[in-house]
Amino acid sequence: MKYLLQYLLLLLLGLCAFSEAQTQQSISFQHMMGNQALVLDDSLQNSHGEKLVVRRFKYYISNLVLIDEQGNRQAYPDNYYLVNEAEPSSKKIVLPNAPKNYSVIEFLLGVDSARNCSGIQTGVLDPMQGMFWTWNTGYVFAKLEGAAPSSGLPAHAFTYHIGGFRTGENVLKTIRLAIPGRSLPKDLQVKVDINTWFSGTNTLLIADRPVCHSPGALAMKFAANYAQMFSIIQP
Amino acid sequence: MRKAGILGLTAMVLLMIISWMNPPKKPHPIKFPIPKGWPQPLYDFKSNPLTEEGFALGKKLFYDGRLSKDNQISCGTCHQQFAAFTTFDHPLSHGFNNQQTTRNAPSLQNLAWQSNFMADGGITHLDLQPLAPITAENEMAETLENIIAKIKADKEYAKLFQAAYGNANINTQRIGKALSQFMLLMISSNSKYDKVMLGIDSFSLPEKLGYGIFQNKCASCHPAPLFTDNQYRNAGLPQDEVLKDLGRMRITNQSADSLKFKVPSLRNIALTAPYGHDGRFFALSNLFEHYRKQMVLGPTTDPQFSNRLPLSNFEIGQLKAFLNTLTDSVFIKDPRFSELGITNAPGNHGH
Repeated sequence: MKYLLQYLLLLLLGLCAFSEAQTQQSISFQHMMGNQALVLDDSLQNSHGEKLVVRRFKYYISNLVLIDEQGNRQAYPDNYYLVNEAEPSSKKIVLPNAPKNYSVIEFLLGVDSARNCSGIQTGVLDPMQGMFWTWNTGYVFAKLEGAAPSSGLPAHAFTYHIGGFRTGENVLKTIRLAIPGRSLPKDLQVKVDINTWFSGTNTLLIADRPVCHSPGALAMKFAANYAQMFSIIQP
Repeated sequence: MRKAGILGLTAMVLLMIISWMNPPKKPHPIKFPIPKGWPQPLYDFKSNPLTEEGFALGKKLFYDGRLSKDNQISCGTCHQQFAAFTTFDHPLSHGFNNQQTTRNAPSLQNLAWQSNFMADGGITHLDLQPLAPITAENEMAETLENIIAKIKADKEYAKLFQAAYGNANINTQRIGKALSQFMLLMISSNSKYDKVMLGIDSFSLPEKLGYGIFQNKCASCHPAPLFTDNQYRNAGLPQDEVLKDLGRMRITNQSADSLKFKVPSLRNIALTAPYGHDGRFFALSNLFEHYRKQMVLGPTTDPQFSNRLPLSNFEIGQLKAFLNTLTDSVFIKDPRFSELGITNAPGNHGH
């Protein structure tokens, strides 16, 4: 009798874990340069033939929405994710309570303007994450840093800090991906191609543009390019 | 194993009884005082309710040198109470490793009535503002990670965070909010001017004449009661060749904003020399000479200055008399904001 409570507690815990496992679905991001998997500090090459190594690659994902064929939307407005190549666990987004079959996934690449304007945030939005401009309030939505022989900067570095939410320099991008088979797999695999930063709508060579550190025209060019970096890998 | 289980359960029950007997102490709220006749503040107090405990924590942080890389520069180093929280007698302030800042330290007063901060307005929330000087390489040069580590190592802070927030968790947001609580209460509204407006004092003749000239020639950009319209304007200061400061354009990237800077409040102006966004004006006399003779009229200069600002020597004398009535000696001596009695504060601002 005196252990009954403990047993009940254990049973309850077990049930919780079981029910969670049933509904848990996830999205995994695979960072690539073209068809080559990204490994930090390993030699890569972009489609302009520029050799480079990537040291940092991270970006925010927010306002995630799953949409089914009838147009019903499952939204996660309060979830913010900082996907960081250096932290493998951050490359997998777990979606709680997403058991239905969705055909479209939509999200913002970046942090919506409301959160840019409401003071200091916590968690992945803590300015301590190094994705925040303190002198010109706003989040860096995506960051790509490394080195390339073609860069004329000291140590051949290149640093791209892309952000901006104000009118005229807004680089918030809505990404919309159709889910193949119109059914969300247990772990949706999304390819993230860094090569798109350099070629696409705008041709941007590291040699010409090794640095972008503030909102404005150049940031908008990079963002127009990297808005194309996501694609779903067919299962 | 079973014994451990029983022990664990007993401990849990005991903890529950203890916490029931000692409920956590709630912080004591402070009602934000709005001076008579002033507009509603712009700061969102709902997101950061003022409490005595939050204020006390903010005060300790404000005067703590550990917020800088060499543990020697606190917020109070460059924002000195006796100078209405500017740096006394400094065009530019000193930062880490013998570096200088690139702009004149602004006065900290009536911050609840501002929504954008810095001379270029680049920072859109008071809670975020301290992060800029803290992390700037030429100011406090410290990282947020290091500050939090230093603060966590100090048991005194654990008590203060516990008292202010109900638990001892320390993060960037709580640091920013506590600093805001301390700074929000820096209200300057007890000058002679204020007393005259309330009918409990009266202007001398030069002050009265100066007030008339002020209303005629200055008040369009420096309106009472805040003595700033919080707009960005080019008052004809040519760009410094070394600093190459574009002002508001640095934030908006718009050439129309080139050389525009935030209109400063004139409250406590007698205490805040030197003047101008880069402190180029040594004294009030230099400022008046600029306005009436030296102003450089460029494409973004405020249209009100198409003929500069004609001022006679007589008018300047009366204006100075009036501007002196904006000095708030209650504010600069208020012990609530004083560094006295603060432990761990770095030594006085030295050379």
